[in-house]
Amino acid sequence: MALDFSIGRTLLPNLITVTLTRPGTALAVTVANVQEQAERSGDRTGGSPALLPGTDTTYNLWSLDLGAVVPAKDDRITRADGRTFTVLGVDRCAHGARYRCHARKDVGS
Amino acid sequence: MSIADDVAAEILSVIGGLGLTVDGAGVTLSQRKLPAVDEALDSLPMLVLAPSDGPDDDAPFDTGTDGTSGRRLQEYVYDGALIAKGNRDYAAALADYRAARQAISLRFGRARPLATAGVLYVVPEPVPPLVDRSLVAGHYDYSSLRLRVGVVVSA
Repeated sequence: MALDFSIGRTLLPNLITVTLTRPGTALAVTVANVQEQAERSGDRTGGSPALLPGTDTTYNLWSLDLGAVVPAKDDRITRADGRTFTVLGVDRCAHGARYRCHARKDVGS
Repeated sequence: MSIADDVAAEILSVIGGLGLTVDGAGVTLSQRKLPAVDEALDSLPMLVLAPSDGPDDDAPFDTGTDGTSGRRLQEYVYDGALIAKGNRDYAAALADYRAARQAISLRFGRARPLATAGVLYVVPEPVPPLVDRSLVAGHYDYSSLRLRVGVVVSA
């Protein structure tokens, strides 16, 4: 019997629904049951002497809610409040059942 | 107010007269200690004029008629950084960046000194990267020019 990694995912608190889009393509998928981890604001450049700030966060998207879509770097995640985040990297978790998307808030959104 | 302050203010005033825009939005001007912006407070696009990380310079210019009253040539170095929203779009508003660099470079050519008394020349010079571009959040567009201002002052 195979393990069901997706079971219980809807029991997590504060799930949100986001829209995942891919710039340059027509891809736009509404993804439910997304768990957002803590936002962190701070300086985001390591170079000297400039300082440019940013806000990072992480979204957990479940394969079951994504359909056939696999999140990729540079995808956009749009929240219900209109803020958009760009995916900087994706961790493939739980044998592909969950994608942990590291994202940075777009400047001006 | 020092000569450096006067020169910086005038550079910013001249750049303001160039009417730079990025993606249709007028460039706001700011003098800062670092080429830095605040995500929440600043209105982008912004051109930040900051002291360079290199040293200013001071050298003899002439000896004067009596051999002791010569003037000195001082050089002040500024970095002008144009910072705008990028959001990992590496092609949008590229023409604006080129136009801005061109406008600033040509305005401060060797043959066009500032109005400040004693200013001999303002030279755009090659600038090492102000930031490691591999570390920059691609969410900001970032372009910089370094200006070297030569001022003749009485000793």
